[in-house]
Amino acid sequence: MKAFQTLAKVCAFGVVALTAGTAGAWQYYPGSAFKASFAGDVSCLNVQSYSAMRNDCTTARLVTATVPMWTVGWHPTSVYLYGNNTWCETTTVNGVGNGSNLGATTYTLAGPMQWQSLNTGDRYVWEDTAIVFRCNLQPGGVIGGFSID
Amino acid sequence: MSSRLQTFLALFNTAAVVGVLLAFLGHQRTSEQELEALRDQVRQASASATANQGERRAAAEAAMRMWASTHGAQSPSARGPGPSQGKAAPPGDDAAGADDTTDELPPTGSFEESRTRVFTAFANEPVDNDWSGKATQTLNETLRQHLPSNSRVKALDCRATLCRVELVHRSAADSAPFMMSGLRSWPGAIFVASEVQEGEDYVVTLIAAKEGTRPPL
Repeated sequence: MKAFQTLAKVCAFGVVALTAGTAGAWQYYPGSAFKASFAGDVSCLNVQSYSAMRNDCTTARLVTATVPMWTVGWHPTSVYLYGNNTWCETTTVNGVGNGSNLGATTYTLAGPMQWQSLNTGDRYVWEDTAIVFRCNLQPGGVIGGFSID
Repeated sequence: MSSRLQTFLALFNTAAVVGVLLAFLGHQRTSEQELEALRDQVRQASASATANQGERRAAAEAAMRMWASTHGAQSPSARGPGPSQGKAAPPGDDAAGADDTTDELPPTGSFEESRTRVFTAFANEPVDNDWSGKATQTLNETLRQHLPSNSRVKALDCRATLCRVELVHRSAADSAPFMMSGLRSWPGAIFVASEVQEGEDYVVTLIAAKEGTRPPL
């Protein structure tokens, strides 16, 4: 009987653990997770404060962040940034690094530079693929963070 | 004497049997209580996991806003919407209007199954003359401006919410840069259905979805 109870407990907590693993899909990443897309632009990008990424060059620079994914299905994505002339987009990539589900390009609001959240759309993830965030970060622009649900 | 002993043994046996039965019933009751307690623990753990997820999200969003208010150049009133709010009104957001279906679509299948679903949906889709004409024009202009000179459009067909585009490149090296920047003016999502080498041609088949819709992957 004791052995049975132990087995039941192990099974029950296994179910809970699995449920928590699939339900807790929302992920937040800091802006500093972005990297320069091209080696020549590395010196343009500096970490601001603890974890934001700022472009200190005088022209826009392309930055990329890649997030491996395991949960099959649609995932809403967003980028939180400071700017007024920056665009971002998200793409699901396959095993050879090519795009599979390309999202539309999303632009910041024009006007004074401000903190704003860009909805970069929903990306479909197949098993063992990744989502790539790509932004053309304007001079003085700052990426605070980005998220995947 | 023997009779008394037999009586005593019979009584003793009866008492022992009753005792065993009572012990068994008590043990069963205890097991049921433990099982119920275990169920409660599982329920609480599930609720806690859900609550933690919401708390984590709220905390992260609050942290991002707090960070922005500390380091940003704008006053709070001039700040953009938070991450949980809608988009900053970009023209090309493929998630618009798609939130309602997030929970409806089963997250199943391989890439090949997605491709089959999309091609089937495209084949079954009626033609919306209004959107089809505009979408064809947009794609034609985009392709004319950005397609490499050695590449060509093999096929272009738009229906009601989906367009199927077949591009022929000389090599994969021509396709990759085009894919990364050549379709930026298309306002919706794009599904790259296939990239195959056919003889000397590198053929790429795309499905371009209407703005505000998602291809049925």
